[in-house]
Amino acid sequence: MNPKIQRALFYLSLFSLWAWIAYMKFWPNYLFPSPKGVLETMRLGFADHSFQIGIRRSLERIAIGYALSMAIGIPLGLLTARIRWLDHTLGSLVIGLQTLPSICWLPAALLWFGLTDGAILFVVIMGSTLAISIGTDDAVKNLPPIYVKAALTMGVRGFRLYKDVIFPAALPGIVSALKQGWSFAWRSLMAGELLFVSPGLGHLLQMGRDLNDISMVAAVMIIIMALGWSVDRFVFSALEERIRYRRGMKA
Amino acid sequence: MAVELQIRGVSKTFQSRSGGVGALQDINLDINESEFICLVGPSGCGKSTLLNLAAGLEPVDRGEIILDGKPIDGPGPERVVVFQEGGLFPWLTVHENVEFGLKERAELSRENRRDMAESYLKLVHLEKFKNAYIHELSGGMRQRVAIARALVLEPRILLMDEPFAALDTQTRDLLVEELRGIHDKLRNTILFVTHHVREAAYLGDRVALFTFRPGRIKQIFKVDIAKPRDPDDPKFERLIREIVDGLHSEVEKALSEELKV
Repeated sequence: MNPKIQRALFYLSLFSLWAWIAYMKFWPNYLFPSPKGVLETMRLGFADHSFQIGIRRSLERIAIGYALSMAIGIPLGLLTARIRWLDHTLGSLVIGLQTLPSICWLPAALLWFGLTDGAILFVVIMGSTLAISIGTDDAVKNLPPIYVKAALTMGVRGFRLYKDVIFPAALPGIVSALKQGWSFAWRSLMAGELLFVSPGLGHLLQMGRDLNDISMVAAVMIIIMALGWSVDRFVFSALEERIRYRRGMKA
Repeated sequence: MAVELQIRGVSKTFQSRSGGVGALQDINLDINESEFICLVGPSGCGKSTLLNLAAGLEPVDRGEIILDGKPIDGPGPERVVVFQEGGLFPWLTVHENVEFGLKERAELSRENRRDMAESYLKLVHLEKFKNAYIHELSGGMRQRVAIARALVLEPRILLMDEPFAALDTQTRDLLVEELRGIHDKLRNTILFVTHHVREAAYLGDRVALFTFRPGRIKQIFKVDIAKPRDPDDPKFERLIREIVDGLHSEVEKALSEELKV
């Protein structure tokens, strides 16, 4: 069967199951959202623009946080992969810090930055920079040494060796690292937004709880999932596919 | 003929491709300008290691390698390497690959670079494929790109590390003939590593035969036969037999060592 049809059927059955459970009222309405309630909340949320505002604020934050994470994470990974003493020192610290869930940085961030966007950004950056750096480091360490050798014998060294050889050679792996960094950034952002008051998707989720409105909670969760998925699919998977195609890595 | 590259008392212990530890011992070799010199020997004898040392990709343990009177220290474009395979950059087109090293030369304009890359692509008959990516080419075409990419830098000496070993026989014969033609035309100095005796005898002005562990130069054969050489020439046949005989005893040594676990 066509995978598209398979997928459509799967989601259709899932939706029917949901509608059926809601219809049977195994749980009261305020605990289990009905499809109708969720759709209605979506309509209202978009009609009064509260959802758009939340989405925009969250996307703005992640754009800044993620851009900074890339700007720090990629060079850091390239350097730890190539320079042994940096790997032994900074590299080990990065791996150690990565074991710390990023939301654990929030208390410190709140003390340092106060109740500002800066605190959330800090959490996002701590969440994704390290993942990007570790993924980049891995990608570079797994490169066949012949690319660098070939470049060296052509007289290429220094900055250009990184820019024109190591970076493009490792690009497929770096894109995977960026993809992982993205999902870390998105999770960190939501966690950060949940925990303090400032417009954003996490805040809308929290508002649903405060209002005892399970439909709102479900609607916002669906939006968060859809946004995360879209970026993964339309940015990263598309990019990966293009790189693979160009390098003949695709059968 | 002027001596261009001097290998003086070079020793080196190395990890061989087959996994064992080998050693080059007291290698002395003078390579003249425009000379085509081939290194043959059993695998694990260190002929590729010697090429890497000349390329400056690895340091020597003892001795020195001197190019035009200056000891070499690290890799450089006057000693470009053509590798067996995989040395091309898959993220660049054929033309961009050939132009790659030229970007190091600040004095060249964009047009100069393009023209040089194109003329060398023409030399290897690939001008029609300049916009292709590497994965779109056959193995033989890839090696021709690798040769163009190296030659465009106008190196003092071209180092070739079993450049045709991964190709099928027909393609290999074709490329051997093409390389002979290129050398005839450009007269550049070439150090060529191979385990293929016929190839070495066909191309080389001299053929250096290596011993198996420790790697030493066992014998140097001077090939006094005009090029292009006729494979049926009895003189050529005799030379090949001589080299093969010398090589066989080394291969046997290598085999007996490998089987003795």
